[in-house]
Amino acid sequence: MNYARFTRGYRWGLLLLATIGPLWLWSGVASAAAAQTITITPTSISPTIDPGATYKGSFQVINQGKDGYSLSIYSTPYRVTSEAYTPDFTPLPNAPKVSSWFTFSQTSAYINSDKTLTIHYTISVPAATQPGGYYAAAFAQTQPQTSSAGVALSERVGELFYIEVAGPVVHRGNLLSWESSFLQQPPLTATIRIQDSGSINFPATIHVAVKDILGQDKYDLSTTKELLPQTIRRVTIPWQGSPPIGLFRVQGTVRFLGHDDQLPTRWVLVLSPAVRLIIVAFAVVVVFIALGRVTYRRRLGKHRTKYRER
Amino acid sequence: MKGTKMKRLKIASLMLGVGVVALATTTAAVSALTASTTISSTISSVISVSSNGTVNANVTPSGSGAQTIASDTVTVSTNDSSGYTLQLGETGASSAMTSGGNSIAASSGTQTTPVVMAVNTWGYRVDGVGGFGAGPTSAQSNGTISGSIKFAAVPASGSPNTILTTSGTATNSTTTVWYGIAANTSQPSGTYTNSVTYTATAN
Repeated sequence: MNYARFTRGYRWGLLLLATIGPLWLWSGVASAAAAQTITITPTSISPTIDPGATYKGSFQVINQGKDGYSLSIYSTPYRVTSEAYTPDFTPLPNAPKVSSWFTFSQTSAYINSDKTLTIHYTISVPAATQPGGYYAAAFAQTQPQTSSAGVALSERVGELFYIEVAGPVVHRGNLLSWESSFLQQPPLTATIRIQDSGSINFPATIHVAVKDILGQDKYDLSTTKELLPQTIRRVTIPWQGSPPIGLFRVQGTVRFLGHDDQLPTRWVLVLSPAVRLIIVAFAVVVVFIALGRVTYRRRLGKHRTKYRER
Repeated sequence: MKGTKMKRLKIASLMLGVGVVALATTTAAVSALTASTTISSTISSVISVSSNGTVNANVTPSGSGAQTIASDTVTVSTNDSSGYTLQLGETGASSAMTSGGNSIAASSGTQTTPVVMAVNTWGYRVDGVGGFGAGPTSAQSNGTISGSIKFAAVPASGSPNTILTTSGTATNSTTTVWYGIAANTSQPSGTYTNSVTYTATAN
């Protein structure tokens, strides 16, 4: 009897699996197929071009996804806003239209899965261009699936062009500040601000190391950031793996325009909100115990005095 | 006795001499075989981005307004040590979702000042970014309009909103972007669409 029930249940289970299984597989495939990946290499370039001259180069677009897709190639101006260096691809009024200096071997294409497309470009600098830094981005962008409902998504990846138009340029920059406040919540964060007050961009290589009180390395980061002329760049370096509690030394160096700056050591006490709550609760308990003892002793003293008076 | 000592000294000197000659020969042979080759390689910087392609957030409207919230996962990888910036903006000129002549307006919120979703609007949010708050946001279908989960309009393509910036290399770094649409029964039925572009550039 029980065996018969089991066999019947087993058959129903198989039937259910046979019905739902393919549907589940299909949904998985459909979702995976929808994703499209676009890659560009290199991510930036710093050519020096004479006024009136041209520069020829290329970048590659790679489709590492499972399906082919159409893409477009175009250039835009590149600038940044605020010290956070938010990229902005709109032109500044009265600024040279650097994006119009670009011509591409093709502006649209279809790229199959696991294929690489090489895009050749020519940058033609107008003869009357003043020496200095000029900036643009070249994008490769997937085409959104227009037939679908909802929010159609497209992706674009860009190569940044830090163009130096040859001639007398001013390389000038300075370290404005280096901060890592003493009491912090995780993640431990250090901030460095560098200014480019010249007429051309330059790279700044920042190295930050976090050590514990015994001098053991806990975190290390080296990063290179490009600074655009007449801007201040604030670089925030968070240690994402910060523990909830600890005392650390934060040290670092920054190198730009051929000179090194040793950043002063900062001591940082990391206390997470939970640890702070525990410390406060512990302090409250200690205070209550101390008050209780004081009160007890006073009462005991009064009792003794009464006893002696009797 | 003296003769034996002399003999031993001679043998020792001979052995030392042979040893020195052998060592010198070996060193010369090793020196002759040693050569150095400098191997150099330039690893190009790359950056890649992927997303799910489409976010469907269908709404069955109600009199007071129903809200659907759905997510997309954006994945970025780069070997550029300067890190990357991921941004989000409109693909085209319109910020509204359109269906023929009908439209669903963009949220009146911004990334710094997002707002609770009004009926017949749509927007995006990323937990922990700008003024969105920590969330956590969760998916919902035709629910009541959340009084705490705030959304912003997707900005114009030229000045996209930054949703993540990093300091170093990244491998399959993911960011969840939430899209919300709220509609009441006054919104004409139809298939509404809009296109959003994710931009990934190295820092």
